[in-house]
Amino acid sequence: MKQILRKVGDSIRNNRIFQSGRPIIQKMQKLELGLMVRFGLAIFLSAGILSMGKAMGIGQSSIIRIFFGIIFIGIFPGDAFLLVMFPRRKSLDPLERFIFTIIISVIIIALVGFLLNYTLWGITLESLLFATDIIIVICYAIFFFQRREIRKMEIKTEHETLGTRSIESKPKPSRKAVLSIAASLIGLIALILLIGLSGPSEKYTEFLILDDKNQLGIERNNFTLGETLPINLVVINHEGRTEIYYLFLIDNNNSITRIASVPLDDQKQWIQLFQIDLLETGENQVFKFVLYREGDVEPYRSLQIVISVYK
Amino acid sequence: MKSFLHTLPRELDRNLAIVALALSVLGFLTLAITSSNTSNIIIIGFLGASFFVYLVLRPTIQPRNIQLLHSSEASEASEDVILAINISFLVLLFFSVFLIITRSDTYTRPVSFFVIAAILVGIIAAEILFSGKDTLSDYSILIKIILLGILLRWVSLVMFPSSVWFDPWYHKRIIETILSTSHIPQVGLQSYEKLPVYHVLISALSQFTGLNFKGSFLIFICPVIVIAQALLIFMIGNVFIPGKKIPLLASLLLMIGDYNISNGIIEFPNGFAIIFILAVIYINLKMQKFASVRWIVLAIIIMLTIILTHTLASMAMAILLLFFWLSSIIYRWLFWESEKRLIASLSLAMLFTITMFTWWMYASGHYIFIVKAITWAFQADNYFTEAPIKALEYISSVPILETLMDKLGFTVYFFFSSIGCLFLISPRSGSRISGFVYSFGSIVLAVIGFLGTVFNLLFIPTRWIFMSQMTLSIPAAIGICMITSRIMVNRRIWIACLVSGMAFFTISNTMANFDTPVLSPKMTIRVSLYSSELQSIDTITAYTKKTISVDQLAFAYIFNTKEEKIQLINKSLDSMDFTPLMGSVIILRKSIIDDPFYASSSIWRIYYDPRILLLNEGINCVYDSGSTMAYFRTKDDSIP
Repeated sequence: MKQILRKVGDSIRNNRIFQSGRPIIQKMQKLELGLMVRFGLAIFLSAGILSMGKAMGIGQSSIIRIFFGIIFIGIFPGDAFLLVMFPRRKSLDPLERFIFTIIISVIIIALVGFLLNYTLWGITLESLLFATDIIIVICYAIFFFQRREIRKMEIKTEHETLGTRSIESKPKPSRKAVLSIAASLIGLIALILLIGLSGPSEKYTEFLILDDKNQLGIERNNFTLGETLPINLVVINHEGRTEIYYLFLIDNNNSITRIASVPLDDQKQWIQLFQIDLLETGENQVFKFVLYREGDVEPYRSLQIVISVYK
Repeated sequence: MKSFLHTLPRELDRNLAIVALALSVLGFLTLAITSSNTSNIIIIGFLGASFFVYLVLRPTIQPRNIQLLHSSEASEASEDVILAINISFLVLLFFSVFLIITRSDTYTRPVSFFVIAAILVGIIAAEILFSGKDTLSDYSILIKIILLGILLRWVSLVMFPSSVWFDPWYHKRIIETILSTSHIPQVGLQSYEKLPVYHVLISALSQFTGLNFKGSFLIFICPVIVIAQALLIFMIGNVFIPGKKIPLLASLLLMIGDYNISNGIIEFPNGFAIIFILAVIYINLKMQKFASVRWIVLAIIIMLTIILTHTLASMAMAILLLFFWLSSIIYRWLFWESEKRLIASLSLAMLFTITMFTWWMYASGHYIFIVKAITWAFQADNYFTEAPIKALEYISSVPILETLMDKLGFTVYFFFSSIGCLFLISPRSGSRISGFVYSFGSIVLAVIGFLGTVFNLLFIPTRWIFMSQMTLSIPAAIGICMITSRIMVNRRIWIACLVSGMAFFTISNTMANFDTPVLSPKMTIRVSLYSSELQSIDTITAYTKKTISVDQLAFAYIFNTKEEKIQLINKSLDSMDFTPLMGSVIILRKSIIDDPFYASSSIWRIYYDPRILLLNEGINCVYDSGSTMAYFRTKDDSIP
């Protein structure tokens, strides 16, 4: 008798009997509210994605656009589908619902895209968004019309559970678990930092030879005496700062000529036409173009052409 | 005979271990005599050792050795210990990120990163072993495992500007075509035209978020793969292993698996399809206990998606379903148990297999690969063929110790897995039909992968090893607990140290880490292009209409992003004669001169400087960016 009284007392304290005894209508109101929030969010995200997509196009993104897109693609189609497939809260545990929501979401998006491929619209932002929204709305609508049955079943289950097992208040999460969860969530910041500050970038300079038609290399290997060999020398700076370059030509006789000193801003290109007068005959004459950066002792880049000059 | 049939089920694990040990010894001796591939010999050696160790441990192993981790013997740690573990986790996580951000070399991680990451793994393992039984603790550990998994994958992706490996360039091209034309490109049969799930998904991501191919992979696909793998392995483990610690440990081991890391950073559909396979495995195991039409519908939807995602993943799924069914039948026969339901019904397996072949036959055209594989199988010359001489010379030049260090993490992982598999097969494990069947399915994937490697088979063995490494993480966790079962003092700390040590070798070996030579400098091959290399190729191709001659990695980039005529320089590199390439622009990346590289599906290393050779042959050096050089000489040598 004492035990029964204690059970009843616990039940009243935990408000379980009252909760389960609530009219179905009240429970449904809660459910409808949840559904409306879901539906509203889906429409809000769709509208956001569409407007940002229209404004920015493909290839341009912002944190909000990425966030909206990922949440929409990763959650809503799967959530709506699983609500129809497993409408009762307890038919899936939270982990199952979470992971299958993601999996089904990506599947729905991909399959919708695949089907759209065979339509006139094709796989565009508008068609994908519209088709996915239709699926989401249909699923939510089915769930909406199922809700009375679902809640009836849930309440029945709750009654049965109350009748068969002792009522225990939901265990409070331990401090250790809360601590651990907090640490895990703080850890997320580390990954955001990794993406945000990816570290040093590569620094380099491009040095190339173009012919007078702006094609890489030289057009011919053999020339006649007295001809001039026109070449374009190009330097492109990717050093992340302004650099001063010095260009030298080392000819077949190992004589060195300073061609230019070039101050060049980062991501800028320097191009200059340079003419070599071919005044000596000989096969396989070597002309070296050497690039130094200010402060360098060793050549930074070097190019070489080999030509033959005939009478 | 009757007594044998009576004892067979009870002694099945022992009999299998004896047979496997004998086969391993035979395989070891055969390879030691006939093959110069040290890594295969090491793998077989370790496998043999695992069977031997299982036979030694077996008499004393009880289910409680595995369950010890969640019994009263393993008392919960105090709040201070959990606090210390969590603070250490956070400090080391931030420190590891700090090491990456402040690295001195753009494309190399500091070695200390690998040490810190391995310690992080040890800390998570410690938290698994010391934590309480509440669900929230499990969730927090799962979040940590996921964070670690993402960290290990993102590092390489963040450091390199382009895709990793060769295939992603091809997938990128398909996605870019979808984005520009709004339709999947019709490139004919045996392409991804009829297997477009991955490509359509990334196209949708790009349209919804504005991210490019790599950005979409980095921000969405990679984390989804990690999250799905971690959670599904945890959930699968929960189906047949009592307690949460082994499933959590399995989830952690999966995150540090070298093949898993490697395939988690390559932007290709196979790596993505894996999450669907895990989902179907989970549903099948779950349906053995709680069958419902809704779960079957869910399984069918996911299975259809696998068919539309990747051929190898579909094949693996079909094999798994068939073996699940077959091993369920064997289980029922062996143990005379009237299990209500099998794991995977024959009808489900047949439905999947027939649908898959029908799709390949009438839609995608991939049946031709099966035809090729069968034709190839009947050509006896193909067996025991080895890599080309150049590759063999190089591989055999790698010191055995270096190969051993490089393969240590991988082999130890499979060492533990095979012990765990044998235990799951034994009735003493208490995992009943689910553990038995799961173990068999995992073994089949691993066997296909290993035989494929040894016999040089056609069907990309590394992908099968990757898939088996995923499913074998649960047996690996069991194996670790078995190995440490005789340790009486501080067993949990020993387990954490063991996992941490193993993690160092798996995350720093050449499979998981292609950027930083740690364990085997001679085997580390960078499979992603530098910014300067990409820019150089862009500049060169912008200023020429000539044919481009390049190595394999640059070839993949140019072939899939440019309209240039291209050819490979492998033959000239091999013959040291570049005159056949005269008239084309020869692009040389400095890394193929200084380091080993991939050519003709093997590892190559050249021991001369082709730049000198090219200049000596009178070919002009017309481009230099430090990391990339271009050489060109017109074919026209007519004297004016």
